Amino acid sequence: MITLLVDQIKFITEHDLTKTCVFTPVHENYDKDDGYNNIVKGTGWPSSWRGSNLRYLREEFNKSDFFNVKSIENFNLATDQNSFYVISIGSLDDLKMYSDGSTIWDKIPKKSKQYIKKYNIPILLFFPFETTSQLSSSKSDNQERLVKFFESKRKAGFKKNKTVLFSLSNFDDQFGNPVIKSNPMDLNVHYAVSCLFFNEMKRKIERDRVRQHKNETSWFCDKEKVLTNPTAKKYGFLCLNHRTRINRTLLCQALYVDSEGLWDNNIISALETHEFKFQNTASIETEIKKRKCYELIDRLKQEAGLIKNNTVHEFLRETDFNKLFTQVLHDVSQRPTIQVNDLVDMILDYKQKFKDSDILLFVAEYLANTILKGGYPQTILTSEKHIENHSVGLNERWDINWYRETYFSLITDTV
Amino acid sequence: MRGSELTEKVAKPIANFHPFVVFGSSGATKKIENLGFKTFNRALLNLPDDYEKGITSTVERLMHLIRGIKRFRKLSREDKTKLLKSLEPAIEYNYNHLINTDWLKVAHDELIRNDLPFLPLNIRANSK
Repeated sequence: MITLLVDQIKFITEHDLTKTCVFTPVHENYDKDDGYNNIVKGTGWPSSWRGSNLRYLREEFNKSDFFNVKSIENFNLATDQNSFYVISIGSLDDLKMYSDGSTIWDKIPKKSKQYIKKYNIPILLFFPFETTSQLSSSKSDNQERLVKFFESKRKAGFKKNKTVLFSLSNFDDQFGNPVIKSNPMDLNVHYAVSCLFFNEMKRKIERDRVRQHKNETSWFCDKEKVLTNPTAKKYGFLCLNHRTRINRTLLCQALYVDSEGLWDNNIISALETHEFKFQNTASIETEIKKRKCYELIDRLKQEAGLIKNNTVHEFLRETDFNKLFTQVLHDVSQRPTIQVNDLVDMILDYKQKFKDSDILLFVAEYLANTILKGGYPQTILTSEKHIENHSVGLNERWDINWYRETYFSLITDTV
Repeated sequence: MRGSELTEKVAKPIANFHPFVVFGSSGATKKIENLGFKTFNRALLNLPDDYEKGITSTVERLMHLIRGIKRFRKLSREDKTKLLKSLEPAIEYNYNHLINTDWLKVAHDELIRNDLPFLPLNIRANSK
């Protein structure tokens, strides 16, 4: 049994139902947050990630046999051996300094601080669901944010308190490997990987099951048909997701340029950048040029010294591949008659070190071929409008019928 | 320490009775198996066992994947359907495992571990 200590627990009776509300330090004005209010008012599915976090504290953990949620004021040293003080991270904005110069550590009530320090209570940074919405496009900005956040933990007097970041990943891919000026052991920050998204999916299935009985077209009820009816499989596989990531971009390029036409006859969801969707090629290219070109050049200059060896893996980790691609796209537009070999050289010229690697040459060739074949892959087999109309919870922009129409899923996860 | 992260995208095909292959961080498939799910790398695309092993680079994995997709693509519709049918027990197992597992307990067990890894942080050369 793990005891989750929060700042307050309130019991609200609404329509003869008793609802437990959990209060735990979140960002300023958290009581005005829509997601939070939705939970408090019991108006349904929380609308924000913070809402998801708090709902888990309120509903899931509170009734679990493995967790006990209680006010920190009721902390009992004898019975609460395995306990954490919970800070619900609602968005990555919670990791940065607020406008008044304070951090989330400063939001912890004075009395709670006394408990945490006196009993050396570990701290749980509760961030179990995915969101990258608040990330800066600059990895160095994100790194700096993370470093300041953890160093402010020590300044707030929690140096000795073991702190566990409970999230989907160790943040490495999103934030890079942050450089801490002091000894990271002093900060005592650990991480645990969340699997709670499986429980979220269970909830969704349970919810859909109710709908399923009312709607014969529900998707998983007729799996027998899906598995035995050949006409149900119009396409080969289903892959990618909207947001650009290194792996998605690479896979997309590989499928797109392959001579055997791997791009065709599969369901490949559209890619979009962080800032805008690919809808109009001409305006997009203009936007790309404006927004990305000089950013890329600066980035490459900054990172020139970071490449320790000439493996593409390292390269992909340390650079934003999409930006490189975008830069090349820009340069091509300036030289309409350019040939593949020229393009390869152009890409390789961005860093002389790339020339040492056959794998990098392969990447460069793929880039060049992709560009010459017609630009960044942006076509989709299903229209953007179709995607928008099929948002279903965790299957955000992912049409559930696509599972029926394909043989398997190709998941491009995390990076 | 790096490279074995998962997101909720893994849950999508499992919940939708779909076999899947992950092109993600090194070790992602192993992580899924450690959580008790069946995976389909070899059955679907005949990917080698070391597809995600250790230092296998992203591009190397991509090449394995492309080769596997090409092999799959050459199968007749009948063979593809037959293959899918043969995977049905594993697909159904995954769905039931998703539904019947208390993932809060999994979270509990993870959090209570005494050897939780430190968050990867570099130390500056001139650190104290």
